[in-house]
Amino acid sequence: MSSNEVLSELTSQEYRHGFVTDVESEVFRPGLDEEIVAAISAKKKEPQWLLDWRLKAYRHWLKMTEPKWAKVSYPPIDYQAIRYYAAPKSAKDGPQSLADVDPELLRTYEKLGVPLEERAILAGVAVDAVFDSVSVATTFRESLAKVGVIFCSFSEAVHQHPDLVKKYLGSVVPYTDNFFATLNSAVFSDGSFCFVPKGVRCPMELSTYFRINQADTGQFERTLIVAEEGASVSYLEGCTAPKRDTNQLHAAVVELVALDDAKIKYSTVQNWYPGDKDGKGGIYNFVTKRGKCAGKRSKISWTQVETGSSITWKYPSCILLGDDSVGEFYSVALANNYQQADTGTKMIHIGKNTRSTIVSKGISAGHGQNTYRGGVSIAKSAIGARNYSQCDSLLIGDQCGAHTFPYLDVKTSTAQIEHEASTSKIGEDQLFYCRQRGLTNEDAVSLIVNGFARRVIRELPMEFAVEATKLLGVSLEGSVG
Amino acid sequence: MSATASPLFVQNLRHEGLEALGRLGLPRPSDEEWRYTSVATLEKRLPEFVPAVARSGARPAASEEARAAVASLGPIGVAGRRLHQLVFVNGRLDSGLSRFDGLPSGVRFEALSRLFGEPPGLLAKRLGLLGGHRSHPFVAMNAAHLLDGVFLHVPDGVVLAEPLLVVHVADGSAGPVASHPRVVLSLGENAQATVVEAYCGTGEAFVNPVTEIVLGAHAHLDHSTLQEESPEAFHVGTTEAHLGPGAQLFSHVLSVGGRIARNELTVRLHGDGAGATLDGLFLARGEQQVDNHTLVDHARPHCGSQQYYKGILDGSARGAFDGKVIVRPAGAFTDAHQKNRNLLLSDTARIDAKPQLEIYNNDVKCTHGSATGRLDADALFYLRSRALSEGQARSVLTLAFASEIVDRIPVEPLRAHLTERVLGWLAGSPEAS
Repeated sequence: MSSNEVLSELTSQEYRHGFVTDVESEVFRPGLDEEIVAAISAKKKEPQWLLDWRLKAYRHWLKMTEPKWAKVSYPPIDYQAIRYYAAPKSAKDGPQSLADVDPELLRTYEKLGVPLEERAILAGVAVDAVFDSVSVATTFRESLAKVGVIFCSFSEAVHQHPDLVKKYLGSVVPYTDNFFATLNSAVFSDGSFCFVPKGVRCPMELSTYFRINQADTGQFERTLIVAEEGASVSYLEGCTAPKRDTNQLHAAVVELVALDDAKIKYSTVQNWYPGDKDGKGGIYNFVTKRGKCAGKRSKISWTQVETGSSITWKYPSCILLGDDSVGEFYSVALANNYQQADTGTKMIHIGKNTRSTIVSKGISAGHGQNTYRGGVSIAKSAIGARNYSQCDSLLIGDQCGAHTFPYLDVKTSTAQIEHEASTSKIGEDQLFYCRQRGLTNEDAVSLIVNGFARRVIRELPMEFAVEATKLLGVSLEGSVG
Repeated sequence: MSATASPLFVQNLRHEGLEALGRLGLPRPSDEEWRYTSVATLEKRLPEFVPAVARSGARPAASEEARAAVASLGPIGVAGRRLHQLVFVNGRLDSGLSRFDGLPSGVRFEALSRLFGEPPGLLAKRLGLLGGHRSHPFVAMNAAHLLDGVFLHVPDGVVLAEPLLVVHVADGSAGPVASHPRVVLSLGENAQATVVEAYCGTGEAFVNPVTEIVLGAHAHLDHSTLQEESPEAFHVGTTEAHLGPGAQLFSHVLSVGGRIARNELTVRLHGDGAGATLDGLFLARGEQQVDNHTLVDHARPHCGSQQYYKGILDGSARGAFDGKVIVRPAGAFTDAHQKNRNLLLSDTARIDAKPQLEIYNNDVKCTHGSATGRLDADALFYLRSRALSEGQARSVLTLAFASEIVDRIPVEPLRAHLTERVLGWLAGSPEAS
């Protein structure tokens, strides 16, 4: 098979998770106004303070304009055409056990490979599965509760742990933060809440699967993770979405808070529908993720493998406030066909001797446009701060683009900052070497691409690393000639 | 003096500039390309700066201070009297200080104002050719105020062995003064030249020079810009170069003076196999701000570019390096590298680095790197243990840091002058030469 055939075959592979569950949903009318905001809040039986907070955000949002600085282009979004709430009907009564859960939903999760029931136990993963804005089932809550870890849906947390939610909600990403985060603050439907108390090491990897199901339903999750003094937690987030023709907006907010000596590791594999090979459809993924290393010697680590979505606008960041705190960002972003990814990180060094590492690997193929946009800002107070950034891009095909826009702002002479980046295509000599050793073209490319991304992949928890390697292989094998 | 004495193409350029400036306005801080330049500070002061001709109504004579500033250029200045040179005081030619005879036949190295009387020739084709006056606010402002400047044309195959010197003196001794010099450098096929532009001066001044460079096939230009204006000067310099097939540009941007200085350099590689090497060195202390912008546009295959910018910042100075490499879809086999190193000598100095790559072709080799830090403690200790004082040790290491750029300047007198400059700067007196 010629390399061109291989290329077209592999880059035109259909989205494998493109199926739709037929569940009768309770949906709100499209559009956004104070009534809708209040209705979402009422639906969730939220306390007054949260409704006030949502309304403050909504009123602030009205004064904001959509950001245009990212290197992505898309037709204007009609925010009044979006439905801001949809819940599977069966959730109304609240399933008491897995047996009560709509079997159709369970089958969907099965297809997605979400480890529920025994599979969950075998996989050793606690799953807080979000299906169209409402948590349907949560596992492992009891075993987590034994060590004092709270892991539940956001709505539950609002009712059961209002003090914690009130204390930390918006403490890292305030409701005034940016256009999409503010929109999320006004209309967020659900999400996950995790609290790891002082000195506790979370006994298992926590994970949540988000799925967007109802057509034209934007999904606005909100995740809040708090690790108290000396606590540590590893959190996995994985995403797939069924195939739809209309673009779907996804504007999530993730907030992480790490106190003294706490460690949070947040890993993402994002494989939402990227649109078809002509760039039609696909998810708009406009996400605000930020962690605050509030305590001394705390550490927040972001790892992401971004292969899906037609547009990705995402900058998981760290505010390094505590002395000796550490921020890390490991990313593989892949843009194939007409996908556009504008992603990166921001490391804000405030405390003394804070350290950050950025490793970003961008892969562009087809007509994909991949942009790394990262900021490293060293405040005057960040004496002895250290940053190392590496951003490499791999280009496959002559129609794609790779762009690097780093911003380095240094305000103290005691800091040491290094940024390196390179852009190249897969080396002919590397390919030739592999072919000569008897590897097929696609195996050779898969090998090289996985080698290219290895430094990031190895940061992922094991189960995710396997999935990520597979994803990269499927998307890119042999797509070079 | 009046615009009516100028040929039509100059009047048109002024009108277009004025129209564009009205349309564009001055850049706002929210403008991504201008985020590190305090345009607001300049804008507040702008009305005070008037062209010298508008104030005196006559050709101004250089003041004693201005002559001293020229003299401080030392071996590359008038004192040497060895080089072909054009000296401008507040944007107007000072023929007493200039020397431009004895060049090979066919080479034009002239003041623009002296060419305006001649029938429109090559100058009419070259002036404003690169079009910045339609899209760039400060180039538009320069065009609107166009009075004088330099035109250099080196015909096909002519190699100029001696460097040419252009000195712009901003003489603010009689009050804040503005000048908008325009330099047009045009090299024919296989032509070679070396040009040094030196900016010096005294008192408060706003200097807004524009340099247009057009290189024919396989032409070779070495272009140095030395900016050592007074600490009260505002300098917004824009250089744009257009390179034909196989042409080579070596650029050295050396920035020491000015209250706020911006050096913008755009290189368009529009011929196959063209190449550019861009070196930069900026020194700033006190409240100085220096902002370096580069854009290298790889529009054709087999082009190469190397950038190396180094900054040394002391006191509360603020420096920026904002460099961009664009590789267009047609820019296959591009080899582009961008390097930026910054040395912070004080805790209040600040640097913003933004090395950017924008790549639309897969068959390229592009890298960029940026690093910021202070003097290496081990190296300092080594020198101290060899009985050097703290100050001496720091000077040796800082000079070594700067030398990497200085040593690549081919014009010997300029290299010597700059080394002196750096040493004088390190000794704490920015005025010492």
